[in-house]
Amino acid sequence: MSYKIERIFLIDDDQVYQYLTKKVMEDSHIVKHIDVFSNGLQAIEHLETRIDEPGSLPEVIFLDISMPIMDGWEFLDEFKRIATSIKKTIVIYIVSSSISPSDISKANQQENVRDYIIKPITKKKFIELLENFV
Amino acid sequence: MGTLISKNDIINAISSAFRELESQKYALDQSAIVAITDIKGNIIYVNEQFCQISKYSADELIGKNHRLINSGLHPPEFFQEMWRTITSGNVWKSEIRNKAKDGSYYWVYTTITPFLNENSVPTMFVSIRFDITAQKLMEKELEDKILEREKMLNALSHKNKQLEDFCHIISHNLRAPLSNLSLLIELLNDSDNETEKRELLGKFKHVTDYLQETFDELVSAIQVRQIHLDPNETVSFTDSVEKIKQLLEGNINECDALITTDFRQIDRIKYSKKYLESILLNVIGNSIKYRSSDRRLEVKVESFNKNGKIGLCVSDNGLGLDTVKNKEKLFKMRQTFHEHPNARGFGLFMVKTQIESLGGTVEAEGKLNEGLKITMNLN
Repeated sequence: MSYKIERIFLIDDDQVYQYLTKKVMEDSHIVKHIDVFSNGLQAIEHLETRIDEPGSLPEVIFLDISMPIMDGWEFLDEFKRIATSIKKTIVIYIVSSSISPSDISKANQQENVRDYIIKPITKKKFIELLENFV
Repeated sequence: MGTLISKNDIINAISSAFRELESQKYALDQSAIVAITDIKGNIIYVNEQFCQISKYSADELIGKNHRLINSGLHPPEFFQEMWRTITSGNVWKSEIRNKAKDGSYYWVYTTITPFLNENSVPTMFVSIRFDITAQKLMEKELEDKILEREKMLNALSHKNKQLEDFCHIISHNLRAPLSNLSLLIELLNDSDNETEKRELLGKFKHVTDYLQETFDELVSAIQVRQIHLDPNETVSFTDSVEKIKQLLEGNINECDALITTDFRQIDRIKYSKKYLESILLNVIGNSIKYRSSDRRLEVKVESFNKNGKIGLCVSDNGLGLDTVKNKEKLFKMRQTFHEHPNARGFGLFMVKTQIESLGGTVEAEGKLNEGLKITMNLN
């Protein structure tokens, strides 16, 4: 079976959300690997140690904002720092339950962020999102 | 022949000058409060208006020092400056509050003119005053109104800020479990596998528990902000900390924590007992929860009194956190900083809510892995 997307990072501290979204992604059969992280720090450390292994790097990151230890905004700052050493195009979506306009406009100002997605990511939304994915 | 000035002419001229002076004095007495003192400030003349406003008779005033009607409002420097001005032969003008015989106050706009002898040395002082009590009252009323308006504006913007905070909390904290629920339902609908359905159903409890918890927390936070407590009770820091130590006895013994107090500066405060205990429970509870496994936990609770501004300082040697980086987030609802299984991100949010509802402020400083210090200005 051929997958449209090799690898996705799911960064979110809500365990029910992790379970459900992973399920949605698996059921869509368009992603081969889904790596789950509970905060920004875990994901950054994972990226840094595998920076020279393109196969271990994701094509897409779904990033929550509000998380302990390192939140989404801090993750983006760290990501910017290592972005030039990453030899792969990584698309980041911010995924949040927040509908606050200040969060949305802040997200739109981030250079590495493609879009702001309001939770939940339903099967329909997920497929639509990645259908146009090149 | 030269012009002869007759005796009559002189008398006429003098009496006309006198008449003119008399009319001027009459006009002055009608419009102003007049007093004359010697160079030491002893009263040698007062007019009828002076007696009326000060409620003293002329007999009671004459011979007395002018200090008799001093209201005590103006500082000594005020009068020192006045004396310096008039004894050097200059005119002094100012608004003064004086005290009448019956103890009531009146405001006068005062001009003191020194009368000088041929060597330009003052021999007496003439003070001419106008009653400005009514204007002063109006000024005061206006000032009070402006102050009251400012207070109202502050209260309003505070309320507005709280509303914004609640919008934020609801958009962040209540939407998260709701979006999980809607996704759960969608997945359940799509599933035709019994095992999977059972697994999904099992997740509902997690979400509803979380929803319930968040909802309860929101309600208790709203209650704190709505109930306007008037802390008329006096509480003791020593007693409150003792009570919290008893409540947390199991946790304290389990990690062998050392909790010390220093309430030498002040031990009693007019405050809500319920809030003080809840604040201490949250803050000391946090110290225990976020202790470092590398060292024995030490918590120090100190009180301070800075010119009547009373507060508490709780410092520990626990995990700490970078307060420069986390300044904005530390006191927000559902913000956690450590991978602790029981971290709920509610304690400091509630502490802040309670302290602010009673007009205080709270701040934190600390360093990652060195400890945290929470300073609470209670009143």
